[in-house]
Amino acid sequence: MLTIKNLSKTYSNSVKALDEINLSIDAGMFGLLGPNGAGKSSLMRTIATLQMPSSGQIEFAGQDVIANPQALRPHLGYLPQEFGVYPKVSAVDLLNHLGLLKGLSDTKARKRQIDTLLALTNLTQHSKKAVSTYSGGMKQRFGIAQALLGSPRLLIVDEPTAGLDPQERNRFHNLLSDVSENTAVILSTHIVEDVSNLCPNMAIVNNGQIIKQGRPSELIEQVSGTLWRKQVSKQDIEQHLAQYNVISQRLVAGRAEIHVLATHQPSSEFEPLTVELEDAYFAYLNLANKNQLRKEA
Amino acid sequence: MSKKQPILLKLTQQEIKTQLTQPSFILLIVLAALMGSFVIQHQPITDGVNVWGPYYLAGTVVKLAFILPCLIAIFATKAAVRDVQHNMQELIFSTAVSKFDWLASRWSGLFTATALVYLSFVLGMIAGLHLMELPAIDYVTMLIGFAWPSLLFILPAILLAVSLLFAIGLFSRSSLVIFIFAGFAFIGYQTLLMVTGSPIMAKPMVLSDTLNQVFRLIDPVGSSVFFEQVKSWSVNARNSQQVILDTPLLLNRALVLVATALTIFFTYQKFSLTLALTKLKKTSPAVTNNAQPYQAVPINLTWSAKLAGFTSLCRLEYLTTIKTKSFALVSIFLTLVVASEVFSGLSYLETMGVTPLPTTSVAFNQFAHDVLPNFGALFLAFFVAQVMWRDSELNVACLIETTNTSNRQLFSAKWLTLLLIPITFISIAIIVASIMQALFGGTIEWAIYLSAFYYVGAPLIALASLFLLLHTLIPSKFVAMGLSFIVAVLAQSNFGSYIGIEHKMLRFASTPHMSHSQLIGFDATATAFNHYISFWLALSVAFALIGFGLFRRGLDVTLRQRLILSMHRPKGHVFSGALCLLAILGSGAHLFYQANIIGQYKNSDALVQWRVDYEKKYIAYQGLPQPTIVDVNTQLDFFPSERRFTLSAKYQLSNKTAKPISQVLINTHHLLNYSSLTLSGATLASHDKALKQYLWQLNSPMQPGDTIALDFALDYQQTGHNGVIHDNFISDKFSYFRDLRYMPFLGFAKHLQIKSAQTRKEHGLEPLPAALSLEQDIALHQGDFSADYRWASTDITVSTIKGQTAIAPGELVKQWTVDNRAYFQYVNQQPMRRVLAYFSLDLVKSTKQVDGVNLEVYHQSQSQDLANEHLAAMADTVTYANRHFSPYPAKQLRLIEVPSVLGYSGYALSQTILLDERFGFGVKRDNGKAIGFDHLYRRTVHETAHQWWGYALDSAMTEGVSLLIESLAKLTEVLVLEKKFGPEYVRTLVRYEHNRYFSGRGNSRQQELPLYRSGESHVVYSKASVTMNALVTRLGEKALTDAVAALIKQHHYPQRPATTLDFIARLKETSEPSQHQFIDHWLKNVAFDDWQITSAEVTENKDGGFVADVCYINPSYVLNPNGKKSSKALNNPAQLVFLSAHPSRVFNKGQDRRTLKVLDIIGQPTQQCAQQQLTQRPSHIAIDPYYLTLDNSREDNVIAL
Repeated sequence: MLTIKNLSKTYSNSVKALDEINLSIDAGMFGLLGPNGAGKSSLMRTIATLQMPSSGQIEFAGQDVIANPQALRPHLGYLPQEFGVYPKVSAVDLLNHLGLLKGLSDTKARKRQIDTLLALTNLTQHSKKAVSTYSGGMKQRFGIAQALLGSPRLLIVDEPTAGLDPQERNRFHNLLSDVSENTAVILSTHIVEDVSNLCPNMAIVNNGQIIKQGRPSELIEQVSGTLWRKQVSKQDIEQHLAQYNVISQRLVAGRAEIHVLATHQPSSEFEPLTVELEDAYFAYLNLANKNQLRKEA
Repeated sequence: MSKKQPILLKLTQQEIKTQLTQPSFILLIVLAALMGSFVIQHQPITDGVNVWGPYYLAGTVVKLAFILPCLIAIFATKAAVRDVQHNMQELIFSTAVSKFDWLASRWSGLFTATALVYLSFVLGMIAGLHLMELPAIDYVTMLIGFAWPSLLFILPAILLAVSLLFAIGLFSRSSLVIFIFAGFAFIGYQTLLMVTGSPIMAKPMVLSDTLNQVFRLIDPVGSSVFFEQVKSWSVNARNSQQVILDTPLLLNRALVLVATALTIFFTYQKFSLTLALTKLKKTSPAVTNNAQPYQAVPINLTWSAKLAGFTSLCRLEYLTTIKTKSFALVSIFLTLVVASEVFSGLSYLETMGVTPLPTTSVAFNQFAHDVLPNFGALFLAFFVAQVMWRDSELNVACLIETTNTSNRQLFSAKWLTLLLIPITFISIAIIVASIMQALFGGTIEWAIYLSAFYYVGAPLIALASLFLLLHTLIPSKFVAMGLSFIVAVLAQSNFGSYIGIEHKMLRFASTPHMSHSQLIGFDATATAFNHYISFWLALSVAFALIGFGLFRRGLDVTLRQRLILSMHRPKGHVFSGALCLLAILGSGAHLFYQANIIGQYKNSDALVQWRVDYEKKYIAYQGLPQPTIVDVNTQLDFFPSERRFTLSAKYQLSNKTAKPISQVLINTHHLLNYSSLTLSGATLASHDKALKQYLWQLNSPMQPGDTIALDFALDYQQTGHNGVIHDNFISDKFSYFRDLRYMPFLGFAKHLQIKSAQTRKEHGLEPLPAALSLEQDIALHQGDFSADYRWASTDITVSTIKGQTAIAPGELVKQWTVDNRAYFQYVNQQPMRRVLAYFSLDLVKSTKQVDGVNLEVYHQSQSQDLANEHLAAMADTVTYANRHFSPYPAKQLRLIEVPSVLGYSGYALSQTILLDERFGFGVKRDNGKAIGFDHLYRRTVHETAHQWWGYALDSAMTEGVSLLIESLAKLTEVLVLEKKFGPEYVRTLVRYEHNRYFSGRGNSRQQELPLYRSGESHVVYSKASVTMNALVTRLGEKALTDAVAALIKQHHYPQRPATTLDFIARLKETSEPSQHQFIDHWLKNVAFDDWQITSAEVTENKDGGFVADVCYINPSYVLNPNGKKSSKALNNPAQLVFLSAHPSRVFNKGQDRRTLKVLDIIGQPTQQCAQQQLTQRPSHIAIDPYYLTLDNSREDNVIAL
């Protein structure tokens, strides 16, 4: 459905945000994981026709999106990471407006869908209030509603659950899951759990490059047996960081636990780690960063 | 305290650094210096007054102080609102900083930045003075001249404005509110200056004396008090005297400082370092979700769906623009400005309470002429920026631009919104103006109001398209907005002329100003407007197309990328572009043809160069004897709908010199196209086509007394593209051509010489000889100025379209119609002053016979009552003048209503009077009686009087000629008004003229000359009124009328023309020798009284009567020729008057019943006393309450008992 080939983007200030990205995305949820500044939002904006790439191709259903952005827009639902709204315009009016801009000219159908979306995002009782007065979570829910207007075949959601409480987050996950049956949904996030729970396919982005893509289980499988854990005292952390290839550290019951990437058990004090997607994610980031350093050296 | 001071000091230092390092400060410092230098170098210079002297320096800084609010607003935003703008409040307010430290440091930074910009302005002025290479600048005087007014006027004004704008910023937390308030202050102050008659303003008027008094108290700058104090300063005083802190000024300054202190106190009391959260954002509670499952709805890509999307876009763009605080404030601002403009227009026509008819025309012109176009353009520049950048600033673009909306829809919606903004402004103005007009009882003519959408709206729409393009091309909102403001200012003002942009075609969206006339509608410039606006609209469509091609959709899209993308647009755009280019070229070429080819446009440099070239080439012919035109035979054919006339003429020329003439130089005007010009018995020696000069060599010299014929034919086409010319105007309903400047001129035209010494020097012309005084000129001419006479007998035929009346001077001897054209033949058997005017009118004629003279008034049909009043005034004047001056020489006298665009309030030609449609026919009456002073009657008397003063008596063209024209017309006013209304009415006029004279002196840029030599209007009109009234009162009516009758008798054409010395001589012949000093005092001196009552007491007699004892002094003075005051006992008589009410109450129309007794006294610098028996106890004693002397300080002339 969506094919991205050798996509690069360098901003006018010479920052290279995307570097030879290649992706192929079909209907269903596709997770895009990456740290802050990795290039996820740049990729989203480029796919969403909001910015021109420096080079590369984007095709949607066989149509060249870069040459003809209008080919994608009728089928696009987009929830940016950050967005604003017009002051003093109510949610229902703004949804109505965006619906008309998307081509929902049938008044009854548009109204019905808006009512449904407001209910699904739990905004019905606030639908007459200006969106500009909404709290962060409400505004994010409004963003979800507007992205789903019409019949998007490609839904791009950038950090959609930021600011949502757990209940709303679950509701949104269910909604996305429903939508993704016939729609390609690109879920950009740095919350590994969201990808883990929702996405049958995913990619990890770092420094503007796709460093890994595949099914989450495959990504986990590929690093199984190379990850180790050890609980250490806080004063020993520095020494372990210097000595081992530490990919992450966390607190477990008040004690520090380090996760180490190594082909063999680093020492007898280390135990094999039951790999989860987050560990795999850190492992791939670690490997990518090392490769980068090696290249620069 | 010991800890506090260092923190405050450091905070203040930091704040000053913040203010002084912002780019706008640096820009303003530079601009202020440049402006200071520019202003002082372009200051209109008064003869003898040092531009570096205290008067000029104080006047300049005071005049420009109205800019202060706008300047301070820029810094106040930084000082008071930057924490809000950058979301820093929570961080700043949670520190340990105290309220006092924070407020004091912010205020200090704001004040310092403002003061430094002002200082830069002053330094710029000093630099400007230095650059002017003035002969001898006294730097100490100059520095004091800057320091004292800065301390006295500017510092308190800055303190008040800084405190107010700082407080507004703190409490509103909005930069917009600061700017709007500053805008209000800027406009409000100028409006107050205008309605209180400030000389700073171009069109000052006095709405109410009470308002003036209140304004003098509260004027934040103090300019009104300043101009009141300096209005009677002599040249010498202007060079040496500093403004003194007298009671009015002290009171004013004290009030301003108290207001500042109260503002600071209030701010400190009410402000707190807390957030301004008024409500908490609500979050929806978690609810059980029972919504329908999500279902996709198919989208529609049909045209109807696109139209629905476009409509929604337009609606939201427009509503989002107008439903903002800024638009609301702008709307309020426009409402107030339009309301105040229309109110002043409908409540003021002339001084002394004269009001206009509340017509739509008056209301329309008050806002559509300049207020709405000027403010509309500036506000538009602001709102275009908001519309163009709103989506990206609000970060809503990412939602809108990823929808199915096309670029065409997005762009068109924005463009349409921009077009709707001026339409909204105009609608607001129309609603406000029509309500105001209805409140004044006027009948609303909607067609006139609705025309504002075209005449005001179309240029604004064109501007909006250009602004849109600027915002499309320029990646910075503020740079684009700044450029838009510059374009707006250049389009709506004449500032461009300073950088060589004069032609309207170079000033985008510039059009002829459109004023509505009850008489001719918009005919004066409507065609020109259509041509200009066609050109601008064609350009604006092109700009919109380019803007569309380069429309910025998405993020990080460079102009280059947009250019590349635009190359791939569909072919339809090429077609649209080609069509647009064709429209631009077509309309531009047509406009250029109309303005430059037919209109023969020349810029100011070209006009100067033309005159330079003329003088250099033809100065050799100065003094060459030339023949005089003695008989004029003309046929002029008007074609009103084509705005054209043709003229053919035969002039008889006579050699009236004592020498033979062998060459005749003929100068023709550049606007007229001569198809032929021949001189009988002569050969054309040269024809200078560039300068339009003909040099004829006579075949045999023309001996004294010989005559020859000059035949010529010409045509003239008027377009209105280069503005309206005051002395030739052709339109459908009204056409007028005064030939004074346009007919062939014989000999070297001295009037074409450049007068400015500086310009002459720059172009290598010799300095002109110094102007001669009256006495020197009389000596030079040996008392005979007859050579300047331009009199001839005339036989004129004028034709026009059928249905219109054609008029020319003379008796109508024949009238006929041929081929749907009406012909009128006018003849003057006796020579008349040869200033001929031709008219073609579509007006009603009202007539009246008096003393065998047919009085005619040409007017609009609805003005019948006013026409009758004019006929009565003309009849009164003709009757009086026939009895007392000389018989009126012609059989007809015509008064014609003329459109306001000509700029005449009243103008007298031989046998014809022109009266402005507003002042003559748009005057409101109350049941046929005047409201306020009857200027209508007075003006008609005045202009009728010119048939004697200016035409029957054609005086010598030398110093003092204005006395014999205007001052004698003022004498006639005094005499006829007294006959009509009584002496009390004349007193009202004289009081007004007395005050106007002193006000005029304050604004004069010349060394005042005595009345018999002066040409300044406040002298020859206003001082003359007081003078003539005093002369009539003291010498008697007969002495005056006998003198002027003798003057006409002895100096009527062809006898030698009169000078003012002849008038004084005749006056002395008809008066007592004891009165000669009094005559000289008024006519030959610049002298002033200063009457003061030093004590007064009234005691009751035993017999029930009263005895009043009054002591008084009069330290009078005269101005020497060098302008210095010289104390002198004038021995001027005055009236000591005992009154039963304050003298101000004697100025009404009713009979004066409040004057109990009048005693003549003679003033001396030393105290004198008088005693008077009275039968009634007076309430007041006054010296000269009826304005028979010139005394500017009259507060001490009255004493209440």
